[in-house]
Amino acid sequence: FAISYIPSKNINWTKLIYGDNNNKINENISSKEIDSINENRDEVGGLFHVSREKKIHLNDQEDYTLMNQNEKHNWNLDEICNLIRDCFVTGKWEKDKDAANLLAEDDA
Amino acid sequence: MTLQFDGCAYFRQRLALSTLSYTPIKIKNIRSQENAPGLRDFEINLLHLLEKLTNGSKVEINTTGTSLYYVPGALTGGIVEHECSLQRGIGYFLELVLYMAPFMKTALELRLKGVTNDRDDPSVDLIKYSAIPIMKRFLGSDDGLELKIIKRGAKPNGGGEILFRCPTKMKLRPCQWIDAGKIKRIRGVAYAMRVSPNLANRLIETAKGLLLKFLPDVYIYVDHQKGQNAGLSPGYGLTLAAETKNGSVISAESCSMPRVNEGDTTTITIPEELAKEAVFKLLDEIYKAGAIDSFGQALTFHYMALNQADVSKVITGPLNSYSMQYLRYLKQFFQIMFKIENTKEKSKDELNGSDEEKIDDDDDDDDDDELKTGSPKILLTAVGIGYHNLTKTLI
Repeated sequence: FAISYIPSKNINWTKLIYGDNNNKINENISSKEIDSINENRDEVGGLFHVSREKKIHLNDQEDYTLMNQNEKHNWNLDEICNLIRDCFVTGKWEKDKDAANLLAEDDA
Repeated sequence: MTLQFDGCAYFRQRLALSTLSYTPIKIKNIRSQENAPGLRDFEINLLHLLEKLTNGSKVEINTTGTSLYYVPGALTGGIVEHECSLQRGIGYFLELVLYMAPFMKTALELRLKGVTNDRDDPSVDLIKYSAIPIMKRFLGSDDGLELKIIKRGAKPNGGGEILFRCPTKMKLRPCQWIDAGKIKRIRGVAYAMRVSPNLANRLIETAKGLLLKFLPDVYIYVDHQKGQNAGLSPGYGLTLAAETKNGSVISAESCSMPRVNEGDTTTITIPEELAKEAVFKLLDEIYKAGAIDSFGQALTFHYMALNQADVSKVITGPLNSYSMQYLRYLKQFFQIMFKIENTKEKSKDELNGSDEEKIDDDDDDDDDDELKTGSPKILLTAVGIGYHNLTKTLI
């Protein structure tokens, strides 16, 4: 395994969402795929035909809110659990909110 | 001006935005390539619900059901009852209503009947945990805001019933939600309908065992329904919610597979595995979430956009495809663009200015400044479009 998803670069969300290239590229790809599927209806020995996984166009996806969630972590591992350690009150706090730190500052 | 769309994807987003912007929409090629083309029963059912909520809306569907023309009417609200299609959970229908509920003419009191909990749609429990705190922020108070599960119902036969109450507002409040806060407690509900109550206890035992590693304050309620209130099909599941100090809620859930028809091969869910799935989903959500969880993303963006002409800010984790599409549609319908920036870059600038001294705690090897709060967060900023609820009756 690897500790998955450590992004090397920040994602440019504005471009990802509003950049219109994004949509167009997607549409082009999928229309090409449909074409190639139509062309290559090759049959093996005139009897069987090669079955392919059907590609679903972006516009034909079913309307589910929380489907296609990627990035599943294996939370059995301690390393992975450590990734969210400080989301909890039991974790480490920011300096300006950490009680121990604030007390120390008060004393000084 | 009519907007045109293709295919069956993001059906509810299109309908919600069309209704709120009073823009007619035309959707073509709905499942036109499939063996059973056209709109499904649940989509027709959704349109019926929309007709009940509005006055003067017009729906035209062609004979094969592959194209739809929708002219929205005025949102009236009031007391509405609706029998939802059993193909989808109530969450599917309720989610659409959440987008429009504050903009009704009169306060909404909606009764929905159908499947309260299933594997595919966000369950009513999850919506209650996740959406209500968000709505509370934008409405300003939770006066008259209520989501109650009266009866539970699982797939395939349903039989559940919920009551949703929402006040109307002239305009929403802008909301600055830039600090998620730390998670102080985990709550949840383990429900069981028409099965042994022991299953709920097994769910809780496993879930608590896993969650206590992170936090001592874990409490999961048992909701074992009997007789009338248990619906018509057996099922059980677990919904978990992590509450932070600042009042955000991060939720996740898992539900048993529906009982299959007699003769089919059965798929059985084991409570221990189901509980583990729910906990892992919650941890994934915590990893990904900012101030809101995945379910809340699109809803929050929606309320941010349809707000007064004032700045709203929210911090989130990586956006999911559903909410990204929603941002695109918001631009299409309301010409509003969000400012989206990674928080990492920002905090680094701030850190450079701050002191370099280190506290002398003998912690582990990693950097002291870096808090381990999961994925990189992003900050979304938007100025509301100055949306006013013109249908609301003034006293």
